[in-house]
Amino acid sequence: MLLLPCPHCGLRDEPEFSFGGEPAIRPVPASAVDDATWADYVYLRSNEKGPHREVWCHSGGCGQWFVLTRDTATHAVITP
Amino acid sequence: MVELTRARFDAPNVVTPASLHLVSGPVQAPNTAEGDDPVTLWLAPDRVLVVGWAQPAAVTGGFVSDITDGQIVFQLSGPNVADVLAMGTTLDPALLAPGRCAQTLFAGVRALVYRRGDAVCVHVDRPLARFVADWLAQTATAFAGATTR
Amino acid sequence: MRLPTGGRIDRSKPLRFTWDGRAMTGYAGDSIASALLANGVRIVARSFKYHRPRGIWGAGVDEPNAVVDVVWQGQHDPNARATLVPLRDGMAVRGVNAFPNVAFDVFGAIDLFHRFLPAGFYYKTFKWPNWQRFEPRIRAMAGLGRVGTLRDTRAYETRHAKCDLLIIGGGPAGLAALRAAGAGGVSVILADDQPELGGSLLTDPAEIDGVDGAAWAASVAGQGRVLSRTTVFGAYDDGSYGLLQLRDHAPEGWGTARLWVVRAAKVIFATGSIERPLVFPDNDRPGIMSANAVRRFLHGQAVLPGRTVIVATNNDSAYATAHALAAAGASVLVADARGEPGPVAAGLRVLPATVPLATGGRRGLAWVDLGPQDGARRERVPADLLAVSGGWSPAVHLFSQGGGTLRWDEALAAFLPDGGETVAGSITGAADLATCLAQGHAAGLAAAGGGDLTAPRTAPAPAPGKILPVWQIHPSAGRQWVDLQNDVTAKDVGLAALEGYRSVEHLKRYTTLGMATDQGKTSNVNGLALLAAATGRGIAEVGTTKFRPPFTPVPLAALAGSRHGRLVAPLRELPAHDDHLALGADMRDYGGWARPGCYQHIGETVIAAIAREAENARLRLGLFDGSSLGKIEVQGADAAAFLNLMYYNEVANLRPGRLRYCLLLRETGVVFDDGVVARLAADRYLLSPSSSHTAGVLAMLQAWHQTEYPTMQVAFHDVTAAWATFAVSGPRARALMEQLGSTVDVSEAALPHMAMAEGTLHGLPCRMARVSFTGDTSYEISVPSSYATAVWRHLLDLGAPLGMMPYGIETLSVLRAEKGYILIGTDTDGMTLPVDLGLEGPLRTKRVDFVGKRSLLTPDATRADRRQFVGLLPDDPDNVPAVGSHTVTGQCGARRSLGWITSACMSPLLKRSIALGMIEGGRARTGETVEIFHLGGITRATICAPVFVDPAGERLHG
Repeated sequence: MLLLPCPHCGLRDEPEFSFGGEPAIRPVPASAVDDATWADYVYLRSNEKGPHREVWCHSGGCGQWFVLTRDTATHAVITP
Repeated sequence: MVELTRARFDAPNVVTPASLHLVSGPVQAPNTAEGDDPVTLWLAPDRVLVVGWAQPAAVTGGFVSDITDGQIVFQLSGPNVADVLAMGTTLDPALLAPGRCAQTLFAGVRALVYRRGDAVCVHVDRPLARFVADWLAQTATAFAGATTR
Repeated sequence: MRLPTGGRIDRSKPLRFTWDGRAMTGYAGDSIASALLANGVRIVARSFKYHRPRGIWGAGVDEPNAVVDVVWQGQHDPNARATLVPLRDGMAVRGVNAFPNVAFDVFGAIDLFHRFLPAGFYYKTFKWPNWQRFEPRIRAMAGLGRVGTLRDTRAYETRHAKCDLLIIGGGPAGLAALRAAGAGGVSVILADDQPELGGSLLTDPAEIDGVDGAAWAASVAGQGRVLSRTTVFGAYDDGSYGLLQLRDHAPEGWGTARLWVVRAAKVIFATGSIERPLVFPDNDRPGIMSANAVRRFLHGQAVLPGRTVIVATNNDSAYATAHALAAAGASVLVADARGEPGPVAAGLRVLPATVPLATGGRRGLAWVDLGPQDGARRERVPADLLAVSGGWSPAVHLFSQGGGTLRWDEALAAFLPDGGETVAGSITGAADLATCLAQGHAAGLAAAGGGDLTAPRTAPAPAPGKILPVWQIHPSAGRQWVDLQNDVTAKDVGLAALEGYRSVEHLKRYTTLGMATDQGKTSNVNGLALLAAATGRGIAEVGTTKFRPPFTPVPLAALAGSRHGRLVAPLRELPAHDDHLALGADMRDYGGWARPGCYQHIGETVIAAIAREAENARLRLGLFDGSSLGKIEVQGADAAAFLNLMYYNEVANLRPGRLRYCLLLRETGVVFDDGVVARLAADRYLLSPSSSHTAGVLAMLQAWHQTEYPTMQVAFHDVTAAWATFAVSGPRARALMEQLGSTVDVSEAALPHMAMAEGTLHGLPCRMARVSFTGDTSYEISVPSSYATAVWRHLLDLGAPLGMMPYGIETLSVLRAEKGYILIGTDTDGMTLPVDLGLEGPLRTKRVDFVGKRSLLTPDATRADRRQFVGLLPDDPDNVPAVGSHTVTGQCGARRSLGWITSACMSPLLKRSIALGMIEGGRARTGETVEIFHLGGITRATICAPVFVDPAGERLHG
């Protein structure tokens, strides 16, 4: 059970959070984006083993989203 | 004019504040409870819950929503409160110091928890209040008349 | 047999129990295993695969054989490990996996065919003609205990706790750590799986700080929170641990197992080590036991498991057992695999360089062949007990689960933890009490941040002699068992290597070695050592399999905790819930809300009730409780602009007081939710997501605001629970509204379809909205939810003379189907785009980059043969097609699906069946007949527009 650092509420247990995956930059405007670029944004993530940038939401708490870097192999949070 | 009566939520340990208002705009230190009556509880960087106990709180200006009917407040007191909290939530009890509040999961349900005097208040959405009341009733039986053979 | 004196049992408290129906006696302080041994029971089980008779091997969690069925005081455990269950008066214990019983099991005959049942036999012996023919029989024979049929209605406690230090293990090392850390003032939890603290101190007499070891253990216990009969079964992320605590009694209605979830800042693993068996021919015979277990039973419960004993060992530790047995009056012979014997006391007979080569005896051990490892000579020695020690494997399971690394130590022939001050005791390979105490003391001080308490003192022991690793004796002879519980032999390991399964993880899965309920506690190291030999590698190179929780089995009920029966999952109730029940509502779970399906009259079937309600709502007047529909207030200077970026439809040009039906898409373009958007003011909106998606919609809005558009001035309040909403629908709806007495002008001019107004209703704040999900004139009345019951009853009173009847969600589903109004998740799925539903307008006209817009312009989104939402009229008007059945066409001699039926029902107004579906190119197929395939049969239907009643929508305006 992970212990995650909400920037507002401090360290809380994993069940209070929802995982948002790897953040991506939204390519805009839609009219200027080709299909391949758009598909990459919607579906592809780097899914690294090791340090991994992630967004989490403290959905069972204050409802705020935040970014952190976490090691997907050891599960340790590297930088909140 | 027809007389329409207000229903009370029937369960042990329920208290009924005079008013509950969601207010967006005010800034307050995270997870703090300011004031006594009304008490202003932090919910998010830009949102608070104002609880009027004895009489409705006068909340004006900004984005205000009256949710007095939308939450049920359980007030837990007695010798087993610490154990009930340990059974219902993973929240570190140290986060419930005076002047603080915390949003967390209680009995699997989103709740706002804080101390009020000797008791602990737990706010839950009204539709889930029956579930939480049943959970509290069942949990109480873990302490009542425990057999020691 | 039971010795006349000694042991930590209370002979004044005899306990009666039965074993396979036979009455027996034990004492307080016995486990089921020690009581069975005291009563001379040798065969306690039949092995999983070959049904070989098995006896008790160990004294604790390491026991691989003695899984028994226990019934006591109405509690039934079909999978109890006899060595871990304290004996209680009145227990009924039975063997499992045998017929008629473990002593005379008819399925023992299976062992005669063992040559056809090697590792992987599923894929070899039973492959032809068809594995599926054999599978049900084989599965029926698998498993050990039989699950009871009585439902367990008890709740189980879960406790969450935080501490500075968790000490796992209550032996001398763990207790020394508790003593040191407790003195340092940190909060400590110590968990030990035995009923009495002390670990090895209960087996071997010792003196610590001048007192008896067991007494010292009891005195230290007060330094922290001690949980006895508590197994730490899992080490999880960030210092979280799962613990299972067992108690004899719990309050009425509660189970005796309690789950602890502990978050510890620091941990000390004082989990000890587990004795390894030696691998030799017929090493599974009842009467062959772990040497350490023999001593535990001897000193713990005064049980002598045999009178003519051979102790076979490759290290010093078994000598303590040999001496203890001799002192108890047994005749003892030690067979030491090493050339130099261990610490021999006076009178003990030792045969150096000698190992067991074979065993015999029909109903348990009767003799052992002893000789050198190469089998050049052998001598048959009678024995009724063979106490074996092949070395020790530190119990590194939890340490490893927590991420700790191991290294193979050649000298100790063991995997040791690289744990620094997080490990103490025999888990580090330490063999003597003084070292264990010192390690525990140092670890406890370190965890407490220092201190000057002196370590507990005990007499030092001489350094032990070296171990001689003997991984397999006489490789070519007989059947040599490695995993006793899953019946895996050394030959199976060789077979796996031969067939290319060189990785230790493959060995495990191919042979099932280490996959039984004992999780390989006595077989893992022996197995991987054999694999190393078979593949010409070192043991360090082969490594161990990955350790995973749970360390010992955890009942599902304990994990479920309070989540069963009414509390299995949070269920939302409507504010007028009790009134619906009183009206005979058939309440069901719809998206997490308890809602009335329909209101059955006495003697009425559900189908009849739905038909009655639907006809009444269509022809006269219906009342529906829509309080579960979401209500999200959105406010801010940028509210309009922000919502326009979220919704598919244009919402910025909505006038105050007006409503619009809108879709929310995901970034993939797929329809996520539909609902009504109301504009209250220039900077204020009220959103009505569907009941099951309210939380998801709010989460979506907040996510986009916080992560993509954080500078936009907008805020969201979920007020769903604060308002109750009732829909009044039908040709007589306005007649009722005119009598209602609210301050809102409900004339058609003032409140037309898709408009809303605020006012009061008998002093209560109320919102009125003209929005219809039935296709008839509808008014949604919202009042504060505390007044739900009062207003519901008031509406029924007013409506009675007008023929009003309440209707439920199943009825609503029929009414909306007649109009072709979609239900998200029923008519749509994870691939449905707005264009599929015929809603193309916004894509052409809306300029901003709303969520999902770009996905609507891809080749897949714009292809011509997409499935489209259409209506279907079955040829047979009484045939309601099954939802999910496919419309098919023939192609190259096979059937190809063109799509499927998404909704279907009898239309009460048309008195015939209607259906809705998603059909390939459906809109161009209007008038065509299609075939519907279901359960081997074909029916026919004609495609039409998805609306069956009032296509022009005139009934909406009443």
